[in-house]
Amino acid sequence: MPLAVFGQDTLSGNYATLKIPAGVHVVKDVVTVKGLLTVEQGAKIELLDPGVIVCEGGVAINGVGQNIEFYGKAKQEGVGLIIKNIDSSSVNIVGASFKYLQMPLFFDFGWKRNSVNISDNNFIENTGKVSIIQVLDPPFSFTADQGSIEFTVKNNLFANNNAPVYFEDLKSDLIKLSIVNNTFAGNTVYGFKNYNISTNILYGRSDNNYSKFPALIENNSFVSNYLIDNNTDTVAHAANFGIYGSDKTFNLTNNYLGASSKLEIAKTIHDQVLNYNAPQLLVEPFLLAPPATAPTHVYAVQTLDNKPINDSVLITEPLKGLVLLSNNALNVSKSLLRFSYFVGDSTLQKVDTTLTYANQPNGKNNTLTITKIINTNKKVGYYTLSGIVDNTGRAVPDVKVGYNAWLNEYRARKLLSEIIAINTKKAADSIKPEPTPKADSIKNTFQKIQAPVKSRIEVGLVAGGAIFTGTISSPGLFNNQMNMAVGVHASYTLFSNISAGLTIASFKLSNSDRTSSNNEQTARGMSFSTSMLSLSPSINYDFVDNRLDTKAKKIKPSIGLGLDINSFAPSGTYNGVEYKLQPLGTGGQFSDSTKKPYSLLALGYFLNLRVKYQINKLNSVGIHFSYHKSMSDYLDDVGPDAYPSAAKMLASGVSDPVAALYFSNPTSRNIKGQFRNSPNNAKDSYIIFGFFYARKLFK
Amino acid sequence: MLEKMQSFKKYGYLIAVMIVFQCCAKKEVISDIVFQKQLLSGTGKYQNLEHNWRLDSTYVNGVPVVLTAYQRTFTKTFVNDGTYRDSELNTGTWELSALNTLRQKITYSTTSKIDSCSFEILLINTAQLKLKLNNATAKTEYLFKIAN
Repeated sequence: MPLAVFGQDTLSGNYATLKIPAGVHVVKDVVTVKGLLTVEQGAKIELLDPGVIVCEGGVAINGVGQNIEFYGKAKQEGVGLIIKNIDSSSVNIVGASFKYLQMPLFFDFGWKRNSVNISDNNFIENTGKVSIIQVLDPPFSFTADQGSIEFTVKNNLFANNNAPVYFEDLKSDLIKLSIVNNTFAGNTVYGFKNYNISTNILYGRSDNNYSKFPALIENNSFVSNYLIDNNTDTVAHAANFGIYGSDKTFNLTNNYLGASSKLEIAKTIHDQVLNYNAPQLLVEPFLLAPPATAPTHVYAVQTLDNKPINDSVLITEPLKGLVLLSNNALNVSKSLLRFSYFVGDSTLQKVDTTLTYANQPNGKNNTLTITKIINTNKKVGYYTLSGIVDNTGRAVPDVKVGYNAWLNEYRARKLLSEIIAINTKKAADSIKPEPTPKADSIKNTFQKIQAPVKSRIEVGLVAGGAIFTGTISSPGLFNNQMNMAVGVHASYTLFSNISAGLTIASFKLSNSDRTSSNNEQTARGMSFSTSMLSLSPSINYDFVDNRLDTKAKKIKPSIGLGLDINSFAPSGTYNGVEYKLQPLGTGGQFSDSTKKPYSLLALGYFLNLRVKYQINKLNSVGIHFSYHKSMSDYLDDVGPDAYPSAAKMLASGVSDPVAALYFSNPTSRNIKGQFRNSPNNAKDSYIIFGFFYARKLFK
Repeated sequence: MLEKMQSFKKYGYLIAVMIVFQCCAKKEVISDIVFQKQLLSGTGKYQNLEHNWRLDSTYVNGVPVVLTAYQRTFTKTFVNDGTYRDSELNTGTWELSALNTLRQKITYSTTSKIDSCSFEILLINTAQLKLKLNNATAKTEYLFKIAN
């Protein structure tokens, strides 16, 4: 008597035979069936890791319209079915679906049955990375006639799986293999970047010994199958079929291999072209479109104006619609069209937006006009059309447009987020209280750098303009005279976001009241010019960790404060002759015994803004702006002094009293009770701006 | 070699930028005669449209003349637009026909007689103006001081 189970239950242990009726059943560990395993229509078998059903006898899974389901659970995916041992029964797996499993079907080494029929099944979204179906060899004898096993794989849908279908021998003395009318669509075979035989959705061996029965592989469709790099989760290569072994050739004719030219097809297969020890794959004649007998799927996507959209397309602008080309009519009445894209420039936060659309079916073509356009701010995204079925109600693989390019964007963002996470962790670690109370507060806030001293030094050239904004200047900044400023700059990275700088700059400051928009200044009529040599130490806060050298963080702004030590010597022109003004005592310094000449060395302070563009690890360019306030009001020679008496000036004994008189009051204005400068605004100032080029001297 | 050339190219761009900045700097250059005109009559801009010069002393053939109190209040006003007036209500025009050469046309208020004269500017600065009358038989020098 076969053991029958009813209703929802958990299967475990060993069974002589097992009949699984309609209903939900759970397999959490190894279930071994010594005899016949029968699964009836409507049965739903949940396999939870490490759940597996080991079949040592016959298998009778006879569903209709995939109404028998084997499925796993997210993060608890069970294994699947294992066929092992020698038995004279048959394996029939028909009309079932296998989802979210590690290895749905495994024909273990030494297995043997009279026949195997795997037909009309859906293998969708299985997560295991080893195989969807793995068929190892039955036992082999040199002497006895062992007969042969009819092994049929027909009308199955393999879609969105992470692993290939593998036959140890595609050509054998024991197995008469027939793989026909199957669809392999949208599968991603996980491996590494090097494309090889085993990183194809279907692969196996073909030897010229013991190879009575060559495999019949016909009328299958291979569409959008790719090798995914395990390390980066990005597409590495198209991956349809791989062959190896000692045979000269292997027949793969009359299949649709995802392209309409031999050259394009060659990019999706691994054979003698890439490995001279392998057989040559004979693909011609090939089908120009998938056969209608294969499970329904979309094999090409076009824009509304019928331009092809290839799998590597980068989508940054919303599409107006899609034209789907399929091998049979589609039913998209319950389908969901989504557009997924990232929010922001560097986050991993993704938005899935459901779009509305109007469908115009036209035989095997469907035109989807998108009626809801979204603004994605040119962020990279991709479209997913899910929930498609064919006219029989059978599932059709999801259609993804722009997904491959989006994976690249995802990879870049993931890397960046990992770096930020590492830095954040390090920063968090660094602010943990030190065991000793001697910790420096700055070191706690800004991450300490372990880099060698010489690699923290950066030197550069600075060039730009200087504008005087002190006493002799116009209220409108650009009404003032602009002069060239050049200099050298060195910086030293103290912490992750703090650096110290030193700039030596040479520039000229000049201005004239006559160009001022202020009437009082125009009436005053003074002018000056001075060469400046400044030594400016500073401390800067870098908004971006100055050790990062990523594409996403090439622009690095900073803000800083510093001190100026300025050497200056104002001069002016009188009657065609240039005079140094300080020795003339234009403020009455030599005509009034209570005064003394001002110093030609002045201290000051400044605020500095820089935006650096990191060209590479060593070189950078950028723009800078700094506002300097001097502690002296005599950069322009005009300080808060009353206009001196003309008579006293002429009698002052300076080298040229007439010139001194002129510079003290160039417009001979009525000067009673007036100051040459407003004493309320007694400090001179200037700005410097321009470009810089900087280079780290050592790596 | 190509890398070196590209490196030189970069420096070339830097120098070009510097030259542009240098060219952008405004420079104020005025001629001697314009400068003398500005000393005499102001720059012609706000509050500097004219200069008033008060007579301080006079020399005839090198001999100082004692001036009366009234004479020491005499002022000449040179307006930057080329017009002239003085404290005796005479009016007229003036021009610097050449450096140190002041020509005046004066209409006397009492007689309405029009007269022309030419002075040589012996000294001018922001506080002092010394004129020598050229068309007189005697060499007469007038020293004025600024009286704005």
